[in-house]
Amino acid sequence: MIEFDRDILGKEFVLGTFHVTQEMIQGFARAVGETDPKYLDAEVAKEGVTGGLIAPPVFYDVFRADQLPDPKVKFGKVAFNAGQRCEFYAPIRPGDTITLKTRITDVYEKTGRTGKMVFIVRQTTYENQLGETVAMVEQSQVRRESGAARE
Amino acid sequence: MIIDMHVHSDVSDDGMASVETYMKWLAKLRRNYRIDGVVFTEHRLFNHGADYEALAREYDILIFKGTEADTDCGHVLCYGMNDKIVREFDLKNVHLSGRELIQAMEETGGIGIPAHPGRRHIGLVEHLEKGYDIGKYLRAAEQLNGGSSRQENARAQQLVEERKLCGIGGSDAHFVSAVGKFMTEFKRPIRTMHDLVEQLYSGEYRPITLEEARITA
Amino acid sequence: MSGKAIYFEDVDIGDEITPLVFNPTREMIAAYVKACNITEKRFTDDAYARSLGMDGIIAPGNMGLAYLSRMITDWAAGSVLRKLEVRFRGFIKPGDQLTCKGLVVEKHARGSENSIECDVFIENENGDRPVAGSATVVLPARSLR
Repeated sequence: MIEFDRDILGKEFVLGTFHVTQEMIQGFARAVGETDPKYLDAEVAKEGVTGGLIAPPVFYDVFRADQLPDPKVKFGKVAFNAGQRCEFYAPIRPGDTITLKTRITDVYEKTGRTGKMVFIVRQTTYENQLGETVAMVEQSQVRRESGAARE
Repeated sequence: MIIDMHVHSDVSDDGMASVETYMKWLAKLRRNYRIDGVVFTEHRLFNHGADYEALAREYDILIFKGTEADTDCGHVLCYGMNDKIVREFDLKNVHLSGRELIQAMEETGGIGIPAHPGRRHIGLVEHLEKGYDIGKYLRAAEQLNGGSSRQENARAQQLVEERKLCGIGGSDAHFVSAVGKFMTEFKRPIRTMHDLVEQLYSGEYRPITLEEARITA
Repeated sequence: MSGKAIYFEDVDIGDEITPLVFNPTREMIAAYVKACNITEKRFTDDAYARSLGMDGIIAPGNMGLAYLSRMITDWAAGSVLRKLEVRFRGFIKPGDQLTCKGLVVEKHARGSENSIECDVFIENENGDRPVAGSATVVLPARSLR
């Protein structure tokens, strides 16, 4: 049995609200080598199908919370990102205000090449100022005894 | 009959595609390669409620359900899952006794076959080297696994040769495009899981690559 | 540079997405970390990363996702990424020579949202795939209403 704080499962936490600027969007787009004007050039984007500048889908990664809910799993010395499942419902635009809400949805065990692993699954929704959910990101964190590279 | 004995759908926690998506891909693949069936061996569960018969008819292919269990001697592929096994073994438990599982599978008319035996931690070879007693019910091992490295498959082959086991092949696909990489060629026709288990007992099969299943002329 | 528009009707199961080279350097990782205000030290501090058992700093997983997303929009202008799901099976390190690749595996014709499913990977020069997953992409329809 994995020992962890079971009370936390399913509980929703509001992580914060963030204001989106054109500079943030352009900064992220440039950092990943985007050249599509819909992410970079507001004037060109206005004439295009998106009707204005939009953020690339993975832009959700700019929103940082100070504290994330922690199920306090009693296993493992290191934690890594094991995987993500993202759904994108609507684009994020300059001027949007995005609120992050998150829940721990699962904690489970499995074995792999590096031995025993415990997975913590956390689902975060991103809501804009109109109350629309623009994205959902389910992140799977894996706790292991060591930082061995290959799984 | 050529069957991919080890495939994961999105029912597995790390599988990426639905069974139907696999079927559509296979429909294309089968224009050039002979593939008669697949077994969805989902991680740590048996998808009892799923009924793939309609899909199997629509795509004219065999679709079987199995399990890939985590055990104390590595992962074990289970064919011929039944109520007794599901009651006796908590498949979510990663510390199941591999030896007991393989014995129980055989005793209940199924068969347990160690998956990717050449891999570290989750392969049987390492556990045998550390003195694990697998018991007397081991008859086969997954000799060719599509997710294993060449060295890992070589270790699996060594196990099969040294212990005079029968070898199966499976893609261990978690993505549609990986299906069929390795498969198992059976001498006799198979229609049901019962037939499959019977053929696995018979030993009349060998692991093959996708290329060996290519339809020529 | 963004590619030409690719229409739903023109895509077949088995089609390859134009690969995108991704050779992360320390500078590129630092730029991504800065753009996302990341404070986690495994992406910037070699000694800290080694204390966790890695060889040195690694790239954030989301950076790989962002490149996979870019691969798709570079290949098909006018496409909309609806879902992206990956497993991280290995680390991405500065100096790695990687290629983002994808393959169309399914088509869904659904009126207003015609979409394709693709297997997507980030592959290194040995053919290993530290990042592997699936994307659902909405494509515009060629036929006019």
